[in-house]
Amino acid sequence: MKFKILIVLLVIIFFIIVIAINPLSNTKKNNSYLRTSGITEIKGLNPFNPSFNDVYSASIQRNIWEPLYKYSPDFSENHEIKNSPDKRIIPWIAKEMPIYNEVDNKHEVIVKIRQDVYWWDKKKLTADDVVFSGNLMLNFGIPVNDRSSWQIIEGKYYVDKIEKIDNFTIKYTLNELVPIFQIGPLMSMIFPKHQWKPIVDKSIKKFNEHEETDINKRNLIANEIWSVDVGKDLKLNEIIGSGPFKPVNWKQGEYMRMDSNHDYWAKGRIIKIYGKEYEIGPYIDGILRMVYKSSDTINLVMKNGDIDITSIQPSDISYFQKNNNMEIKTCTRNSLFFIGFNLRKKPMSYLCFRQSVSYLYNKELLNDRVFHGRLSPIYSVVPYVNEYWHNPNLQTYGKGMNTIERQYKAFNILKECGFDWKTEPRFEIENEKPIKLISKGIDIIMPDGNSCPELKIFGSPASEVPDSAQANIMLQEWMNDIGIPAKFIPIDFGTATDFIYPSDLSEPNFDINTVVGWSLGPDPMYLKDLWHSSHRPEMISGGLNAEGYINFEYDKLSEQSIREMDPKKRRKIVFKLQEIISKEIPIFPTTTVTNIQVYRKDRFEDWFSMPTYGIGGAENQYSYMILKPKQ
Amino acid sequence: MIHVGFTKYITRRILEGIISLFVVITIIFFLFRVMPGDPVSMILDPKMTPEMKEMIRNSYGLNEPIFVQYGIYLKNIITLNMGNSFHYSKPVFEIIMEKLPNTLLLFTSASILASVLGIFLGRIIAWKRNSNTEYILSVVGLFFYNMPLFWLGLILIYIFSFSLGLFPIGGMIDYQLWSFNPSIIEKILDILHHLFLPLITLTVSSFCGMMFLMRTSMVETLKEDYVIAAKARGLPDKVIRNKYAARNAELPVITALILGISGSIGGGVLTETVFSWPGIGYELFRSTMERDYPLAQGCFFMLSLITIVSVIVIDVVYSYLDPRISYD
Repeated sequence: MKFKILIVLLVIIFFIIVIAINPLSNTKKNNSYLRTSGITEIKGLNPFNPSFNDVYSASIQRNIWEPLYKYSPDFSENHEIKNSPDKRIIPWIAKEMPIYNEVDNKHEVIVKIRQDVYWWDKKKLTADDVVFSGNLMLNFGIPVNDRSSWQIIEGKYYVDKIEKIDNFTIKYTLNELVPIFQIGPLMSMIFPKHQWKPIVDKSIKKFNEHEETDINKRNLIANEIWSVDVGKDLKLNEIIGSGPFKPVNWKQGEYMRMDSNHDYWAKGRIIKIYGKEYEIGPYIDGILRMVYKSSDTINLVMKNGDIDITSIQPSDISYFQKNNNMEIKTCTRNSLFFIGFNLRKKPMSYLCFRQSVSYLYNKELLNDRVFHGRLSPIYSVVPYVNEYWHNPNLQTYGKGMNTIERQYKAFNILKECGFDWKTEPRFEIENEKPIKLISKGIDIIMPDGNSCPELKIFGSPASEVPDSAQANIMLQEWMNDIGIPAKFIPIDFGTATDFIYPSDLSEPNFDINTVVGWSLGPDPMYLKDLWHSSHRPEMISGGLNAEGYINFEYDKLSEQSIREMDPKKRRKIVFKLQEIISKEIPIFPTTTVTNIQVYRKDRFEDWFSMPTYGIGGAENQYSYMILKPKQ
Repeated sequence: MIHVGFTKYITRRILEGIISLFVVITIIFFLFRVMPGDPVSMILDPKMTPEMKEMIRNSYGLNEPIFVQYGIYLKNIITLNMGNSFHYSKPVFEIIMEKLPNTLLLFTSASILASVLGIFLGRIIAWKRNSNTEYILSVVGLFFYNMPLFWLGLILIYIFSFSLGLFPIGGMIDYQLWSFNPSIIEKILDILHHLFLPLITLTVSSFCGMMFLMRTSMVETLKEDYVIAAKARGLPDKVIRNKYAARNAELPVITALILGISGSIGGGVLTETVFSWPGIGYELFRSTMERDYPLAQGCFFMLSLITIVSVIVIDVVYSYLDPRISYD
């Protein structure tokens, strides 16, 4: 019997040793693939599908299909460019900047494209491809995720038609010339006509005989096109792109491998980044992206050296600083976190109340003590990292004041505008400065004589974003200290959106919202979409002005801002819009994300950090095409 | 020969199962519809215009009246089509078939291993009551049983993967190896290499339940007349323990094992997250949170189906394991 047990034990031990040693671990190829990771998987590769609006899917797609123009890698301005509403834009597939003409009350834009751009199947990229891609938007509204930048008025394109002048020249006829033309149609991806036309034709044929309205028919055709499973119906090795990396192996939810396109048309082209010249590659063998489902795991994998780049938490900085093979870089993202007030309800409708809460929210202290530098304070709805459009001369609501000073200020603002208390908060004053809160305020009464109701602060639960929940608890306490009855309500994102952004034209039902944050693009066109009075959810289903902000001066200016072609004049308007929001506080901008990235400098060189996007990652489209393996 | 009573019984159980399944999937459908937020209202992007949202809502079929949606849902279930996931834009059935085997591989092997260990140790501690063996095994078992699963997983990852470098930190496969067309043997060894730590975590944390269940059941069995009679007949202890007592005591453990496997589909979220295991549990959690109705409904349907089938299987297995059970 004992002999039998011994044999079984020996077999088990042998089995464990074989598995643990894994004789195959050494068979991995010695290569220069850049190994990245993420918690979120790539949703899909079909560029027309609106569900694939995540940054990871978009980053893969942008490595396959490229636009006519791009933002410069360091967002530097080129002052030699004339007639451009944004001087940070550079030609990519286009040969030069567009030429604008006015003909018969219409605007014509001539775009010349390079003659040395090739698809992966060696065919030349021509004006036919550009016209075909643009017409997909005009005829079927795809790619859906690009549609907003093709429209100024909901449902109406400002581009009238797109025509081929010759094989390498395209003419856009516009009903209206608007600055977002450059970041919309001219930055949309170009698709190979010879690959997608048969798919489009098949979809048209399928629905042409249907007895449907034209709009329904168009939507059905669009639906059919974006339902093509790229990776299965259109196999990975059949995809035709023009970009620097080709997807070759993909197990959804696990990994994706992209190989470098060694015949990349832009290879050898010189680009300037922060004054230094770089030659475009790609030089690495490719990119391998693995999905790990928790940030703790990704952290360990990075520490183990199994991946080459990741984002880390502030608490991990000291560990990685000790590793000579790794380098840390921080990057402030162009994002907007805020306190949103429901202006339809009292006391949020009182400006002095909103000012008072703005003073109470000590974002500098929170960034230092709670967020540990992860969320930098901002004072404008165009964060400072977007230098081109940011207005630096706005009120900072208590910057440099300590918590007691802020509470004293908030109390005085409320008192001056008619708020009253059954028992006022009492402060100890020394040399005319508050140094201590002696007793809390009790039962605040609003200027209309009614008691202030208990205010619900919607915020992310501690289980999801612990430091944000901590910040909301602190805000609740700061408000309670001066007698404002506030309560932090942890709420999951899905439930919160139903209250804050109802889709059934009902009024949003919240008091104070801190759940939502925006990831912003380089152009401030969102200033109109977020606070224009016509964008209130009760006015239009899906409207994003949840606060219910109504200011006709703001409406007018925001409409001007998306039409003004002169960058100087546009900047002035955008500055004014920021000033209005800062003064009227429908939302109080609080923080933007600071992303801390760590990367392997022993394996690769020429990493560079793109402002607001960081090193590599999903949005920096240049990084991996200039990255070089270290010899 | 199949007994007529047995056939009748099984037919009745299958019919009951179908009715239960219908009730469950109906409740699931309406529960999702009363949840706040729909998949489109959760897309908050300044670039997403109201018109675009409407178009997406239409394409998801969310603008149809609720009973029309229910009708489509039932039709999809019957045809095993289950619709397309909003998140992946892929057939739900395809996604489930991709992920379910991964979950079953991990949790079935862990459940079997935990049961074998639980039955083996439960038998010993029931036989040696109040001995040091019982105390030690009980303390060790309870220690791991009460330890949070994700924490135990993280500790094991830290020791065996990060510090000793013996096992991978996460995932089911080595993506560097798999993306270069490895052989079947290489693939199998690689999966085993990745399976080891999550398997050990699940086994270590769950064998205790089986062990105590076996002990309790066996202690009861040891009081039975036939065991006392066997002792009186002078049969060796080993024979009484293994052949007389243990075999009859195993019935509740087998029930727990089968139900445990079916329950693992929904309960494996934490394990799958800690070990980045690409299974259905994580998918169920994500799809519910993101209001991906078709996928969440599909996962719940599969979970209900497996549970109901498991219960029927238990009934069948019982009659073989315990000939005293009659279906007449």
